[in-house]
Amino acid sequence: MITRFYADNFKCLANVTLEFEPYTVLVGPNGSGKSSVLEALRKITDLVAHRGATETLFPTESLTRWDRRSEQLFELDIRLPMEGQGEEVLPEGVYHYTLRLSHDRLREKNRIAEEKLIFESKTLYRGWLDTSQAAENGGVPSFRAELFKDNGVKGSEVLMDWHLSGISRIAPRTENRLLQRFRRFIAHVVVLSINPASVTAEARREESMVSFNGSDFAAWFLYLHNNQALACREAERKLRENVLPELALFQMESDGSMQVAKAIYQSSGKDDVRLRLDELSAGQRTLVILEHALAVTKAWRSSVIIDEPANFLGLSEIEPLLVRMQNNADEGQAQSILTSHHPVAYDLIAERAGLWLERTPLGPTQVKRVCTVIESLKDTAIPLSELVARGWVSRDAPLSDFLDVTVMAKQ
Amino acid sequence: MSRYCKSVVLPEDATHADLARGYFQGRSVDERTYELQRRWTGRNGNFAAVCRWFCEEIRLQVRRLSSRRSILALIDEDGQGLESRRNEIRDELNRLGLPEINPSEGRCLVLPMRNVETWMVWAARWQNAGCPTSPATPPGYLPVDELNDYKRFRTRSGEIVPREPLAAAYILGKAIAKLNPVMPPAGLPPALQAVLQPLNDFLRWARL
Repeated sequence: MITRFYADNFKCLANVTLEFEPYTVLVGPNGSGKSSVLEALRKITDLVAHRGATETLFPTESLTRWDRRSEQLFELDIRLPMEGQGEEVLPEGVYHYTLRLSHDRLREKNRIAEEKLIFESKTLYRGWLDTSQAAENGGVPSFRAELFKDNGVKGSEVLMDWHLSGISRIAPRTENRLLQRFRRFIAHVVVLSINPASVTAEARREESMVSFNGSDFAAWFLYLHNNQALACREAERKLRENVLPELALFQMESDGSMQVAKAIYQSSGKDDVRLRLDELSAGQRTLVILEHALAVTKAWRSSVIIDEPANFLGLSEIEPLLVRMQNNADEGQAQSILTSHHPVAYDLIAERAGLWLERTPLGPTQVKRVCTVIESLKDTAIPLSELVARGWVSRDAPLSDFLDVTVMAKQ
Repeated sequence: MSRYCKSVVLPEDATHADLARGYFQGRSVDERTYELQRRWTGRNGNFAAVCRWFCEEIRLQVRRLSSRRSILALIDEDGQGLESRRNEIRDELNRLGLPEINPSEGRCLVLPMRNVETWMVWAARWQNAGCPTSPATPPGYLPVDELNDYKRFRTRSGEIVPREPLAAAYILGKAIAKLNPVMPPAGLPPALQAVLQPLNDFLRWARL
């Protein structure tokens, strides 16, 4: 699971660290940087999983506006459990991933200045911008990478493309299984900010990961259908039990050169009804994507990171969804990180596993655990969501304000 | 059409909510068939708040036109005495002219003696001993003293009790779900033993 994330000079994230639990909810006012955290995580996973290059993922506009520096720094700590058996066993431990990007503001270009992967103090990969021989190359530096074996022995040194993650380019071998495990985990992290209006039903080819807004879910579903059939069945079962009661099947159907995602309804004495994914309601589309994301991350034992999962959902759908994510986390099946403004998320989760994000206008995001932010409000019987709605919860609010609130609540 | 009715869970705080969640998960109860009503009691909600809401839910349950709902409340004894706690709720129900607590009719009360941490300490000790299930043989671990306050690690008279690890409430809930109410393992805290059958009856009613 992802245990720590550090970002510097990315949008409103300046020198900020977030520590994640198996189940974490990011809460705070609008514009506090919650979605930026998720966006950064999505971009890093896309880069490492070879789903994009730095120039498209981290454009110059992604630099913090008031910061004059041209370097972005990201760090990611990931703890993975023991895997495999006998001599094939991979030990439990923490991966520490570092990505440093250097931007040229004038030319609106960027490149990787340093990329490093360490497992329990053992370096697995190191790539860096080498300027030592730049003079011989007409002032152009090269990007060098050192490969290491699982036992820490240094392997070969190679030249890499500075727009792509070197980790994503290394061929799998028996001596770099630790690196492969990291790459596999990252490739399976699902980061979503679902916009049901953009979801289409057609797919021309498989996609191994759904896009950030879920628009190409049909292409992802095609991939899951062929590679994670059990997870698809599980998601289909949940949908049938919950939101699409007459649903018989959720499947892809050929339509010329395309495949179309369709929900097939069957009820006794009536003809089958076939609805395209984009003919379902916005809430149903959201639930279809969420159910698949939850089922597949559970099968992969990875992390699901969702921006505002409660959006578009009916009130009766929200709590079961949040509780299921909490159960999956408690069972060690899948980590869940989400942002939310919904009262259920505040009252059910935030006090125990919440991170409070806040920023002054045009200032950097600051993070604190919700339990410490509300320390002085422990005696009130007012639900946390109500305290937040009244504007009484603030990272830097003077203690005397809190005490006044406590007195008011008791009265 | 689901045969399940919706269960309303009224936990006193987040730990109780985790316990309920673990119990339902251990009994393979779908998340959609219960509601954790934490928001209604407020953070660090107390006995009075849960009691009030419990009565209100029962009032709704017995209304002729209400949809079928079962209610489960979890409240700490807090040194007030189990019987005294039960009586307080019983009196309130009588005052309002509402039916008694009866798990077989979907109205259940879980009262840990002294607080839920008593059971969490027991679960940690029980797990360390290898989760023995025999009702006859000595448990192989030190049974918990229900008079102690394992939240603050004090005896009833205020003396300090050595601190020890607590099992997560969710794990405790799952463990409770697996216990046999007819032949509970030796060493089980009496108050916990007393809720096994009612919880069973409660779930059976909710599933009918």
